[in-house]
Amino acid sequence: MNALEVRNISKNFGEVRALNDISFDIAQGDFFGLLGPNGAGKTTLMRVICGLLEPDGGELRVMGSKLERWQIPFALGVVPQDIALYDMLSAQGNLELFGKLRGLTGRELAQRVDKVLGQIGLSDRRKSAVKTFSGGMKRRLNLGVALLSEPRLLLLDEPTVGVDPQSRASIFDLLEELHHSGITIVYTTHYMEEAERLCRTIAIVDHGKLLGCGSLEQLVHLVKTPRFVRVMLRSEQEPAPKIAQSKQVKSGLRIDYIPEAQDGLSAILSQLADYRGAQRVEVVSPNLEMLFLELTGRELRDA
Amino acid sequence: MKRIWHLARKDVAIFLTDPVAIGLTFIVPMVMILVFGFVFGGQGKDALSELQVISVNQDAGKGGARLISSLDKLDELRIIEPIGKDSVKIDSVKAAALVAKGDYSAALIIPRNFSDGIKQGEMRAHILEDTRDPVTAGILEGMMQKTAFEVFPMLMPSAMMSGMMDSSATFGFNRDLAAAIEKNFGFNLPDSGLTFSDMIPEEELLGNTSSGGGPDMGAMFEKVNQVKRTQVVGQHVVNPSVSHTTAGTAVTFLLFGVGAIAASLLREMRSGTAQRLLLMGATAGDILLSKLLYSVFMGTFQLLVMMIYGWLIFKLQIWEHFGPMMLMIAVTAITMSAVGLVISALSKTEEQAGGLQVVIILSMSAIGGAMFPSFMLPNAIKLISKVTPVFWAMQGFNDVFWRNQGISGILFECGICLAMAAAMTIIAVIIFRRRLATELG
Repeated sequence: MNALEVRNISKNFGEVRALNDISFDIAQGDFFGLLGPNGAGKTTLMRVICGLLEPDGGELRVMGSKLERWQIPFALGVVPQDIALYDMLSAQGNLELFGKLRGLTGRELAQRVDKVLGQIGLSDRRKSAVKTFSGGMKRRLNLGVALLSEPRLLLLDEPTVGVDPQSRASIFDLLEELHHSGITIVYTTHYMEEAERLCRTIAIVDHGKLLGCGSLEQLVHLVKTPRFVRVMLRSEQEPAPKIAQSKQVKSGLRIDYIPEAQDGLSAILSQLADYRGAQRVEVVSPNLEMLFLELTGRELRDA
Repeated sequence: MKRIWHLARKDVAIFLTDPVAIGLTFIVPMVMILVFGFVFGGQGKDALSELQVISVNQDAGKGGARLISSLDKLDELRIIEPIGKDSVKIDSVKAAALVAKGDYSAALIIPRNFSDGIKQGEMRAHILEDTRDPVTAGILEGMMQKTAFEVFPMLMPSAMMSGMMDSSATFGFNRDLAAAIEKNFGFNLPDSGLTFSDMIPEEELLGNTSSGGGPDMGAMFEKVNQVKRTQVVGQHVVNPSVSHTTAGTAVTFLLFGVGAIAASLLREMRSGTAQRLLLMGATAGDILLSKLLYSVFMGTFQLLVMMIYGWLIFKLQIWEHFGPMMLMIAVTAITMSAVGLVISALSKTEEQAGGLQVVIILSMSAIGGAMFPSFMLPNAIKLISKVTPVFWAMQGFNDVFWRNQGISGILFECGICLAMAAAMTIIAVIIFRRRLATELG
């Protein structure tokens, strides 16, 4: 039984087709990434999945069941993109409020709040008003609210936006821990690195369409561009070296040398051995960024 | 200097991109000018309030009917002779009840011997009044005296004939009478634009004084004016003006308080907490109704504190009316909170909510009688005021504090307020649901 089945979901906003016949399955225990640039339709899809928006067409099944719209919020844990917390309340106060809305009371509520505060590392700040928290702490608490109901399926909509590297690492650790405990996670992001690091299965979305879906390895195999050499010049005045049997793509200080022959990579590296104008030389393997570029003609970060 | 100029132009450009700010700067004050202009009769003389007085004519002669007819012809007054259920003109007891109930501010009772009194130079009448509106009874009495003195000069010759005055004293009498009327009522003679003094030649004024042997004008005046005024409601009130002032101010500021619902709701939508509440299983209706509940609680508390403050400072008689007062407070808090909900549902930004709040609150308070008593309003505005919840809330508080009504006496006002609250809440929930669906998209 799949944790989530998305079948032919479509959603229009007036003339704009926000979701165009999207279908995929998420297996139980999977760490599923929805990767796409801003405006690709990720958030709309998440809102449809979590019942905030009614799709114009298609069907959703959560844990094998087709749920009524009102049942969906009770079957999922959802971390919205915004930090949706009450600033004037304490961390504990926020958790207690949202826990009560989920029907938790008394000892059960107190235990869950304690557990979540421990999971997100805010036990020692439980009484502090959220307004005194750093962005990273707020993001963790934002996530913690979704854990109150101990969901089997957790949806996170870009949960690391505006977070410092330390807090991001802390959130990643927590998510990996939750994943290892058996929770199915759906994670939307426009950061390729996050998807590559965290997700077992990745779906690439752009303009409301599903462009590809599979494991990182499967997706990377779809990349037509072979491994290539990337040179970062010291300055734009540095003359770019001419390398035989390679295609050169220059962008600012960056020059990519894509081998035209099968064993061209070592030939390119040897020709660059004496070049002194480079700040850095690296071999770049096929990645999601390249796949996105090939599929859309745009870079993920520019889209 | 150029830098300052560029920076200032930047602010103008930013201002012009914000239609709400433009609206707040120009349209809101225009709306308020319009509202207050209408409230204070700025739409022209014709729209000025015509004070309604009920009359009970018991006069056996024709004088009473003539007086009523004369008074009714005046621009300031409209004399109504109500008919009871049995198609018979009401009596003075029913007239007193209508005044006490607040349907009218004054009743003119013309006694059986009115015509006889006129023949003797006496105007005998009885005004039953609700002193909450001191204007109507005051103007009625003044107009009666004006009418009387327009009639009595015809009587004067007969008085002179009867030997009360010699001819030399007549001018003095007329002058003193004119002066007394002018002093007391400031009336001009109808249609002439002249004062009584103008009617009497200057040489006469200079040549004759009341000390020159004329009659006692004070006694004469008292003999003519035998109009009695009786307060039929609110006699128990210790500090008459305070109950309206306290209730009106409290209701106006309650409206400002409940207007904060809009800001709170918009903050929730902007910060994403509204969305999260939906994700946790709450509905749009739950969110809105929770704001209503909070507002009702705070509004009830706020109104109660204001009333206690009125008691402490001005001896507002809250303890004598505690039960009905609390009912009226709760109903008012519910109704005004519903107004807050409508403002919330209609506003898309906090700026819009602020502007809408000012327009709705000030105009409703002005029209509804919270800022000043409704008897001061032109008739057209009085009619409009009845569609505002503020009017019914103020009526309820007046009934409690002024008319000494118990719970059963304010059920009508409470019913109207609650019906308005229910309608406004339903409308607000429908609008809010639609907005939430749109904004989540």
